[in-house]
Amino acid sequence: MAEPIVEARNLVRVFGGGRTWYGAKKPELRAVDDVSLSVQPGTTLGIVGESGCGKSTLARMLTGLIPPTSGTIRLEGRPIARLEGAEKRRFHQTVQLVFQDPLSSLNPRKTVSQILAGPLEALTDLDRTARRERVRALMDEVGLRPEFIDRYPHEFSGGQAQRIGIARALAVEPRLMVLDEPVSALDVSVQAQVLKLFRDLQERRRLTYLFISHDLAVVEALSSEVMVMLEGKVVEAGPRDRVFRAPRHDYTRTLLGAVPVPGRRRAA
Amino acid sequence: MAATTEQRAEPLPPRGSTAWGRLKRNSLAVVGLAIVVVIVALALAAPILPLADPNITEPADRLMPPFSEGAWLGTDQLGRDMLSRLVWGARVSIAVGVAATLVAALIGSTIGLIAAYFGRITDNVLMRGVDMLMAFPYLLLALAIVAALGPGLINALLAIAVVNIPFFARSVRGATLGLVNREFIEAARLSGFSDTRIILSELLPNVLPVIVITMSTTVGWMILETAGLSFLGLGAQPPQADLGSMLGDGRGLVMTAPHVSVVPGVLILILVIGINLLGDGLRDVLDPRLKSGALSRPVARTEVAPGPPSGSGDKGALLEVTGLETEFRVGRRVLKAVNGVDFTLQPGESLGIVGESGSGKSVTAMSILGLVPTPPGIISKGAIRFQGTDLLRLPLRDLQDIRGNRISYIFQDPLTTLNPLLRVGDQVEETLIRHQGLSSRAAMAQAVELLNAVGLPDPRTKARAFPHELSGGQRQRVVIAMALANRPDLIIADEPTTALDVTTQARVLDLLNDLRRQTGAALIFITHDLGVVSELCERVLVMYAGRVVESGPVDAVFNQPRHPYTAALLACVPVLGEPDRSLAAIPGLPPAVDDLPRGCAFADRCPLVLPDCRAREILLARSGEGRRSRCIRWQEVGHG
Repeated sequence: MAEPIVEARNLVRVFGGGRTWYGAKKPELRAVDDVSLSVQPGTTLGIVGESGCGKSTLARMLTGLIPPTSGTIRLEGRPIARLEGAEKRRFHQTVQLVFQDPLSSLNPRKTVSQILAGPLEALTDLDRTARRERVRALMDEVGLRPEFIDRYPHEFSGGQAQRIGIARALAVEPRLMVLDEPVSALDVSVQAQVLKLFRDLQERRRLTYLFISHDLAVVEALSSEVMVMLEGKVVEAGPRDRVFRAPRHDYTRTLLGAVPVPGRRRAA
Repeated sequence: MAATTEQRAEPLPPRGSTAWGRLKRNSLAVVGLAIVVVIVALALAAPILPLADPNITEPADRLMPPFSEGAWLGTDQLGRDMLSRLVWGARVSIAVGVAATLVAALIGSTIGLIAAYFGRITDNVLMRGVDMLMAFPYLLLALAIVAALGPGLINALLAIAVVNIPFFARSVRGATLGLVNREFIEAARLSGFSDTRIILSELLPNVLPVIVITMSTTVGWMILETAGLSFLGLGAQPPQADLGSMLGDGRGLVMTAPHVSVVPGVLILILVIGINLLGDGLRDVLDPRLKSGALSRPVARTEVAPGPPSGSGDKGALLEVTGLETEFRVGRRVLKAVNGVDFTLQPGESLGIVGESGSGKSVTAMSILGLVPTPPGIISKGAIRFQGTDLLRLPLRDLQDIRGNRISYIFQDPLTTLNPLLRVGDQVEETLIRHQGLSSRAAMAQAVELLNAVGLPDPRTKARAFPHELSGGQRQRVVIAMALANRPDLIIADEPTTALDVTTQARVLDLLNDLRRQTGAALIFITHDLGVVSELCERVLVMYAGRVVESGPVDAVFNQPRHPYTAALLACVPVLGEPDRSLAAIPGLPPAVDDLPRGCAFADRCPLVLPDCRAREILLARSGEGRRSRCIRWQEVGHG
């Protein structure tokens, strides 16, 4: 087996806790509780779970937005902790995140070209012309028409806005993309377009995905490995077909049984 | 993390009205603008105007009244020309007021941005400092600062700026707090931006309107404060004039030569009124909350365009909707959200309405009870007959007797449906008391019974709970209890499980189904989730661009669609257990509802399109047993 692109050991993230000035205990929430994972390059790890299971907290730790309370994350073999300077730059060049809400993840006061050039300015040494060139190539790659380049986010539909978010994440050519519910806010016909784009990009660039969703059918369509989370813990993990066809944990079975399928009536 | 599809409101915000256009419509603001422009222009032009030197004393001509020869507004006690002093004084007052505003805005906004962005201890230290500034009466504080620094215009300017810092710091901090948790700030961090860059290039442009609003509403105030300090002799020093010091000079002469104090006083009045009128106008234009129309209050029912009462059709039907057209009139645009919908519902039947956002499914359902907000919504055509009565032509009083009683409505988000300040039990009781006239004791007993029926554990205790104390699934159960309270004949449920987790959704759907069967109520279930329709409904309407494109029994429609849109929609849903099937995305986007094509609205995205599809309107026609399709090639759908 090749070296995993990302490997996490015993990750824990606690929110709250501590004591007030008067010494009373503050409530504590273990959002992520002892999670370990490892992802091979070019594959997709799907993470499923219901709201509050800690999947988004996990995404934020893996992309360096929040530090873990304890545990280690290794990216391409290098531990990440207290990123500074060049180390931080290299980290952001390797991992990028695509957000759930396409409109809230785009600055309403910036044009598409400013949004896409941002990471290129801060993380690469490209000059202005090269950046402009790269922005055009990115827009083409995610299927945005070139005349959109100077438009503002509110002029786009949800699906188009999500393409801008994907292009921004792709800008620095990361090897790992963390996708946090990237299609949940989209209509089904647009969702299919975006899922197709993810599949194409993966094939073309040998990207590694960490795909987080509450929608089991979507996770099944995109993942090679699957991890099921409940209340901050991993209850089941394994190859996709094994987990979906022969679930071992009761919670996985409950989840799978709850999904409504078009054209199929539940035995009631 | 739960799905948030469909939360976008279907009508689009008004477009094409620029900030200037909106300001122009506010006549008071235009008056303010005119006053400010005239006074500022005069003040700026002071050096080139043919005015006497404001500081030359002429003891022989002292205290000349206004309209004297050579001194339009008279002279003061030292014989100086009042008009000249007034123009030069206004120049000083405006300059000091504006400069103080800029200084206060710069320092205050910086404090607000930094406090909100870094949070925690930085926030605490900065904002407690600001609180200390606010703890002193502002004029006393300004006096103390000038007293410490010594009198003089610049010191007065600084004092006023410092006193006003808290207003900027607090409003900018408030606006920034709403932004720092937005995902685009996280995205900026991931793009490798430094904190300074995030504050300057991501946050500042978004809080700029707030800064401008605060500036426009405080600058008049600051001019007044400058005048106040100068009046007390702490600002402009003689011989320099500003409006406040002129007022101070005239103080002793109010009885003998009132014009010396009245003239600058009137100018201060006019100037500050002008600035405040303009400032209020600017705020109305720039404030996003006012812009979104949050202040326009919709009326109690949707406006219905006058039309002939319709003849009765199907006598046995519970609900009969014919030719329904609902539109939103926004500025000059007319958005046809529902564009000619017909369907009938038999007693006890369950009907699903599916479609994507903007297809008009929610507006159709809301039109039934007149719940589409007016303005901007209006039902322009059609008839809705419920048990034989035309709901659109019913007096409001009678319609209110049907709402929540014979027809009840379940909305998507239970948290916003329930009143956060009332106990859930009281909210269930309310509907019983309104429609059944029960005593409060009987209503309470029945409310507990209802909460028990919807499977809320320990209903007696839960009835005393507030909405925020319940989970999402429990809240939706309470809403269902309210909907069932009066044993309605029809329940309309608009995406009732979209905000819930799958396992919770499954339990809520089972509950809804069981209760509906027990009570024999009919159901209209609106959703974007084709799987949910399959589980719950007997018949389905598929909507696209405000019209029904296909209808029929659920199993038949989903297993053998007879409209290309239905077929495409089914093909692009990932199905659990079939991970390897290729997802056939529908190319393109639905048409804008203010610019619908003459022919088939799906033509541009359709694989089966013919020239004929675009040439004329396609009608909804029979396409099999109990089925209808709005497609001329329905026989070929699904055969390649």
